[in-house]
Amino acid sequence: MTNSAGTAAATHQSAGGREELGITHVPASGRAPADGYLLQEVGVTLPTAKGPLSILRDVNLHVPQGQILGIVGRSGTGKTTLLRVLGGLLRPTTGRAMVDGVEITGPPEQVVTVFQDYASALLPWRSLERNVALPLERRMGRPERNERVREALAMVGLESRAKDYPWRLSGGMQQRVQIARALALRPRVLLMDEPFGALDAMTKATLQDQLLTVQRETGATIIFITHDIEEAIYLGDRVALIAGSPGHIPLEITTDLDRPRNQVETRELARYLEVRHQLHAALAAEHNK
Amino acid sequence: MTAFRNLAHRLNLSGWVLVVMLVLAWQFAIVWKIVEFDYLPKPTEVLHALGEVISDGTLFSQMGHTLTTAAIASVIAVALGVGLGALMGLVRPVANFTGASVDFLRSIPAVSLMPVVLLLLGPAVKSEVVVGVFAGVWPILLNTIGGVQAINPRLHEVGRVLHLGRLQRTFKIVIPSIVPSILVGVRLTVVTCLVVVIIAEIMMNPEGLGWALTTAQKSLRPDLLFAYAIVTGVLGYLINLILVLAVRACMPGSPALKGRV
Amino acid sequence: MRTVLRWLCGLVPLAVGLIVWELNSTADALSFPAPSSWWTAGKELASKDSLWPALRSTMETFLISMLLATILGVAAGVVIGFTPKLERALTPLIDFFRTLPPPVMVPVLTLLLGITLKASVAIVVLSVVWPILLNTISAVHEMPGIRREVARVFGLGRTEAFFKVTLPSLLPGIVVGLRTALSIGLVVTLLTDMLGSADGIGRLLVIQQQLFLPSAVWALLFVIGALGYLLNLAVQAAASFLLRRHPATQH
Repeated sequence: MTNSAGTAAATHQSAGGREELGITHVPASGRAPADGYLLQEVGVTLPTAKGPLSILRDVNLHVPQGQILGIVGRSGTGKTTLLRVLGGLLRPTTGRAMVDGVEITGPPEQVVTVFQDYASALLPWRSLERNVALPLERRMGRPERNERVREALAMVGLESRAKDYPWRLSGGMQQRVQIARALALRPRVLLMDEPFGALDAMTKATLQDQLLTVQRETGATIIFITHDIEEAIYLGDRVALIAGSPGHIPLEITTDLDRPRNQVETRELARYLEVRHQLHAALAAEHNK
Repeated sequence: MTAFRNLAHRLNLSGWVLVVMLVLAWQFAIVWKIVEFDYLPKPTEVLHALGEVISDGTLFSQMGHTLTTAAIASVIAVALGVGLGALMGLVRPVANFTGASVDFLRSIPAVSLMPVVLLLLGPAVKSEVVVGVFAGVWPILLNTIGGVQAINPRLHEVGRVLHLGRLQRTFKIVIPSIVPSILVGVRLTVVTCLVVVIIAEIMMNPEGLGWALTTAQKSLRPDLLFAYAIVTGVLGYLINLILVLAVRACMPGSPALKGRV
Repeated sequence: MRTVLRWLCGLVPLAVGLIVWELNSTADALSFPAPSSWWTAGKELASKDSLWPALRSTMETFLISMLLATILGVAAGVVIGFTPKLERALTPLIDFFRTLPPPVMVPVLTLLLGITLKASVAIVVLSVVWPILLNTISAVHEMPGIRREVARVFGLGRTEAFFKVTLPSLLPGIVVGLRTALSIGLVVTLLTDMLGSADGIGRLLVIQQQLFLPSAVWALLFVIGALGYLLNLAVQAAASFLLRRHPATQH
């Protein structure tokens, strides 16, 4: 790893930031913090064949740099729309979306989205290394690019398959390639849309732990969407519940679980079960509204 | 307002407005001498010619001739294609010992066969049918072979697990699973036969829509030529539409039939 | 080696047919002259300097037209496919032209444009552009929406995104269109040849027929068949080259 000193420092910083902030209260208005994501009163309305449809309303969210936030909710609550707003793929109809104090008008530099549908997101005619190289081709010369690609593939444990084509890989491996492609840009933020939703339980557990390792090494902010409450708690520093139609965020919980986490032990902690209970209760309450 | 917009959307108002505008532009481009071709008729002249051939009955007799010939050729081509295709698909040695010959024969363009057929049979309906069958047999043949070979082996196991007899297995599993690709083949065959029959009429037989087109061209009657061309286009569109709807009606929900009409 | 053997096995019925034919016929038979006489007739045509120029002229029309139709069809298909409003407005016209039997174009355009190389090219292009256009449009529809977002997320420029993401995504569909276009194109090229242009191989065939030279007619039929077969092989080779990196299901 060429920048081990840098990543170590970043890790410290982000860990410190997490402790200081503790439970994050979302500022509904007022001065924007210059660090991380800030959504203020964000609403999204999309035109459809049957007239305008309101998908999100009054979403307030603050995600400091280096934090892992899980967003859980049922389908049809605007989870993916929210992620598209964060990724700069969709402008909010009302309210403001900012990253590091700057209004988001398009996909921001240093923010990378990882899609759920890995088979479509990867380019089947490019080998793994050329898929990972795709975002770097216009940005840097060949030697530096090759180094970055090798490093990114190593982070997800696929350096030996570099010359292979994605359609010859299992689903879990393909999703790892997509993550590697995102990491090759050395992003400050990773946005993930149901990253492990299409994978079997065992592959999912392995990839979850790999993601946590990568986050520790890079200090990136990770915001991910899931319909799996367990996954949101296991990975997240914080979990936000999105519910209703139009979707809004009625509840946010700080998980307060130690790192590194463990697939067996973490899930047996009293705090884990407590958070799980709260989220299930809130989800049921929202559903019965 | 929204009701109107929905209706406009369903009828594809923008599409038809564009068609009308293009026809008007065509008319006035000639009237005002913006474009000058020796033989470009005005739409009104085309309409007039169309009325003429409809009222004296020539249009329908020519159309009838073309459609009957194409239908005869299609029936023969389908019968031949399904029979040979089933044989080639089911018996591996037959497929091995015919593959390259089929590939060679089917790459002979049907038009180049016409002088030969003309030499052998002269200008007659049977010449049209022969070239029609020659060109139309390939799509149905290849689709039948494909259908037979693609029967999922699991389905045979399903048949055995359910204790179906040989006859029942043939009628409940084998035939239904190859019918979709045969139907797709039938559609291609009918369209191919129609096209080739028209070519044959253009080139040799003094009857049918193809013949009417060349006659109009040679007697320098662009109005008549355009009238026949438009009729042929509409006919092609309708036949295609009927075939697609028929195939869909026969095979509801078959994945082979998704997509555009 | 095995494929060559299989291919030779496949040719057996054709070869047997020709041999039986040869044994039961003579060189001067009026309808079915012996295949050996085709060879003589073909050699004579070649030595009279009429076969090769004719073949060249036909191939010229065909190749120029295919090239133009591909460029036109793909460009228009991309624009139309990505512009839903335009696509809706053009649907009635496209539906008419794609189901219009291509040979109908021949007399119409011959009357309008006359019989020159340019006119033949126009006729062939207008006949074969439809399958390319339609397959490009449906390839655009089938392209996963995420592909375009991938390009945006990674900050690819418009040209870069088109050549690195969009065009390769559409390639399998375009290739399907090209294959259909090839067979229609050959038929229409020969037809324009036969009905007009003075020097193509189709014209040569018609002349031999009108001179009642059955051996020459059969010889030319064989040449045209071989041409069609070789073009098919060439397109197959080109397709598998273009799609060499794509998943096998898209071939």
